[in-house]
Amino acid sequence: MSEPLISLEDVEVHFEASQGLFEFGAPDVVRAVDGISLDIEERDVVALVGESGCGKTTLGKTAIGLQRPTAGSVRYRGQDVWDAKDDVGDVEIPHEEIRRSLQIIHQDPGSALNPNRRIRKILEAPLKKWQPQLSAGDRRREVYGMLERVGMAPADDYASRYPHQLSGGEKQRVALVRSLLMDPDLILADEAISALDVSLRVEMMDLMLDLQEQFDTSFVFVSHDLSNARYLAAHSGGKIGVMYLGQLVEVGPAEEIIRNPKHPYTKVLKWATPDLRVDKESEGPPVRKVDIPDPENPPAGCRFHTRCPEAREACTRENPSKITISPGHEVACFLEVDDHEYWESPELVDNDDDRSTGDTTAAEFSAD
Amino acid sequence: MSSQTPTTHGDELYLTDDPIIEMRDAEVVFEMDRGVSRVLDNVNLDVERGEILGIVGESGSGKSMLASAMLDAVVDPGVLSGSVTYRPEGRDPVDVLELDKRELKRLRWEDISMVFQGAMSSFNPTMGVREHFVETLEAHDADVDVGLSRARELLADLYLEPDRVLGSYPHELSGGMQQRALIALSLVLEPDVLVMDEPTAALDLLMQRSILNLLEKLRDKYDLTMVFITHDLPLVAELADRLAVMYAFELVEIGPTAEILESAAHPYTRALLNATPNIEADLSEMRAIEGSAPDPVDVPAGCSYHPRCPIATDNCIDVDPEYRSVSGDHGVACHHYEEAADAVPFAGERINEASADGGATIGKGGD
Amino acid sequence: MGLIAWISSSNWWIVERIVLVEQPISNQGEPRTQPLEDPNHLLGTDMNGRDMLSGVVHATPTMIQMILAGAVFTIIVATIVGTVAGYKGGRTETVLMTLSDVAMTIPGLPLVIVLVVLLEPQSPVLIGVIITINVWAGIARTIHSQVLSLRENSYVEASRTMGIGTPSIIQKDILPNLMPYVLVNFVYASRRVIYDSVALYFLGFLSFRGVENWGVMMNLAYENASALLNPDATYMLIVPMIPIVVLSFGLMLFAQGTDRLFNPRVRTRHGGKTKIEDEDAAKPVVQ
Repeated sequence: MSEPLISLEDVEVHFEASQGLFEFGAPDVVRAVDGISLDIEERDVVALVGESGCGKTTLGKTAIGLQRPTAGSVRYRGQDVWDAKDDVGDVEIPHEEIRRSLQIIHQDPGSALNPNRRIRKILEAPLKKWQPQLSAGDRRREVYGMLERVGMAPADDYASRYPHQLSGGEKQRVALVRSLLMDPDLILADEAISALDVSLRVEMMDLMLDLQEQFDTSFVFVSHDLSNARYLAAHSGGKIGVMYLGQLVEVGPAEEIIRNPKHPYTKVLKWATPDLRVDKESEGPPVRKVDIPDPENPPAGCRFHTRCPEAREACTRENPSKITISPGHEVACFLEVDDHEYWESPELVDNDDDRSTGDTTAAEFSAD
Repeated sequence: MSSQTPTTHGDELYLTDDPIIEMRDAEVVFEMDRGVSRVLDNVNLDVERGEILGIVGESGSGKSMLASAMLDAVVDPGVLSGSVTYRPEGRDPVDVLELDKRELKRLRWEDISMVFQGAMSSFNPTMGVREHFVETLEAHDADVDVGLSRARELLADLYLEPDRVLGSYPHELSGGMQQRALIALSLVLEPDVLVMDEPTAALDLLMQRSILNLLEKLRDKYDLTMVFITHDLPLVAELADRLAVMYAFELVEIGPTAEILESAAHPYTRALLNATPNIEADLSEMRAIEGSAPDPVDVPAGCSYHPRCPIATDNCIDVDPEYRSVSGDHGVACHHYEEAADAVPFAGERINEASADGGATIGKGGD
Repeated sequence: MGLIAWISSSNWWIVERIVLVEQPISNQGEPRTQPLEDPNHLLGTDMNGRDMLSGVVHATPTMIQMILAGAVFTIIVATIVGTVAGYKGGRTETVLMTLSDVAMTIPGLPLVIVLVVLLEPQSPVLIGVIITINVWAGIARTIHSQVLSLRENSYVEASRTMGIGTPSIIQKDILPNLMPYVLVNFVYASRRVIYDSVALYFLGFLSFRGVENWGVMMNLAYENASALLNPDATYMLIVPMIPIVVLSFGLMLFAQGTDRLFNPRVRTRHGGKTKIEDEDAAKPVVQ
């Protein structure tokens, strides 16, 4: 088996809050990504799902080499990306090549395009940089070809416009074209459809799937919406990764995750995703607390224990490691380990019945 | 009612049993350099006491304008015409458009309260949350102590820690907490009606769903009527008793939620239902809606949906469809609504169709 | 409207120089003639008989040189410092901004006065540069904060992701979007030069042997003709003031006019097609 396209190993990205001149003591650290290992293959689609603040965007940017990890390694076809950039050791794949193969589509189409440049110029820029041998005419043909491919015809009319003359959906398609023009190996779509109207989202996702096949690109799709993630991952045979407070709690093939979620948090996400059935009983959320804990002060042990309906005392002490349930499907939860002390451990009882903020630490729980 | 021949804006089609707000012929017009922009077009709507009404439409369909019109809060230089009547319990009906500034101020927040899109900008960043409550209470000459204890109760109902939230500044709270605090603030003067414009737009799904849950509990506990405006149909479908669909500044369909979800009569509604990924459905074809919504200055004559409609005929191009009754309290503005079900089948039904005979009847759908 | 203002204000300058007017020398006409009295001297003469109109006109090229020198110097330094500091960040930013802060805190006018007295500059270009020796620092600060916010735009990150080099990003992504601020500050700097130079001449810190300058004219009027006290001679003070005001105003309109140049939304409203005009216009609602 060949090297995976991108291999993340025990990656950590910790941000330190900057301190003023007169603040003493250790600065607050946000562990945006805390020990994640993940492989992304060629022509793979990985959807990262989770609430805001879980670190999925940071993980995505780390995977495409825009964010330097504070620990762990990021490898592109075996070559450590940051070693290549710093020119350390034997560099087999030059950083330039890596940079070209890893691209991004942003969430907000409004700020993704330089408002002072025409679409034509915006799209010719990558070609000028990476294919300087193309003549002006060839360049133009390629740009127009791509515009028509995404449904923006007549191409020369669209190409002579400025970004503010396009709708949100059109701007997003231009951003997609821009990243594809470099023939990348991996594109990070960072909440790329969240800013579009609901009726446009499916269209955009279909387009991405279509182009993914045609250009043989991998996608890392970051989303807080499980149904969008599922649509994209399932249609392309990819996987869904569920993140919580900087850690991957469950990873597996799309349909498997949806039909057979194992981690309690995945089940919560599924509950939260609207579907069109009318006769659903309106139970409350299957979490003990509605709000996410403070990322600067994550709970000890398993980070989900403060909200998990299945949590027991053992969960406050130990962070579960990944268990493989079936090929490609991994979960980090004691529920899957038959002989863990979890099963002997008493259940956690909350002090009062309020479901407010979940930023109490283990010490505040009375295990009775 | 269901055997009635279609009449023009017959009052019977809009009447609910016990309306708390009645809108008739509401129209909002802006004079612009490039023409007259009609951003709300002859809307007739009743809001039933104690219900949760969901108003659904794309961005730019006029749904926010509808909410503003309910409170006579249309921004200048827009001109609102028509009538909006508010019927509080035990008091005389109030003609909202005839109120003067002072009375209007009392109406808003004390009787009909509104939560706007984007909680962050509704809060003053230099004032603590408690100050916001105090300021609101004082501005309406309410007893501050009673008000604050009511505020605490509301905050607790919304799964917030009252002391912690009251003692914080808005920026110290997360987005979800801010939104819930804003909902509490809008309920502190005990209004009858709560109008919410995309209250969960920027929030995580989990928070969105939780807030919807909480809203339903609040409705039951405090006897509220709610109007929930959004572009996200699946989101509000769980919560709403009735759904009203807006397109191009008009109401195109209205009816009980269950009926709309199963047998929507307007082609646009059906297309909208098809366009959203459904986590329970098989991965069958989801369809995007071709075309785009019209510019308010250039709304097509006749039915405003005809350029994008698969069953449009010449009649549709010339004649604006009247509101017709599909059944009971399900109304639609479409010339050919009987054919809509065939023309725009739901994603899940295509499987039925293939196995059934010829497709003349659909597996699900109205009778 | 902006375009018209821009054209008109620049035309005004051109007209000034083209109008053929004699050099003002003593005893051209009757001393102290009121404006409009003598058709040969439309704006009157000063106490030495020099024609006011020609005085104003001949001062103009010098003034313009001074203004341009000062404003261009200021803007170039401020933009370079502010942009590099804002985009690069890190130590570069700290060093450059500290430099700016120090420059800002040195009192401007006294510094200029000291330099002027020490160096006794004659060339208007040099005078212009000296006058604005400090002004760049405040502008660098505002440009720095602008660049900081521009840098956060997604399209800058997109360019970086595409491997486009820093100089190119600064040139294509940052600077064009910075131009409105640069231009506003250019006008501000120009006006500073006008007023400060006029003040310096008026106060007598700059000697004016044979130099034509509006401030000089005002100084002469004040000193020699007691223009403030003597209503007959007040015109001598007012006449040179007029070009100062007009030039300032012209510069402001110029800045507004250039908004058209740098703001793509304004550009396309007049020139290119907009989306709405493109699509087939449907029939308007018939009610």
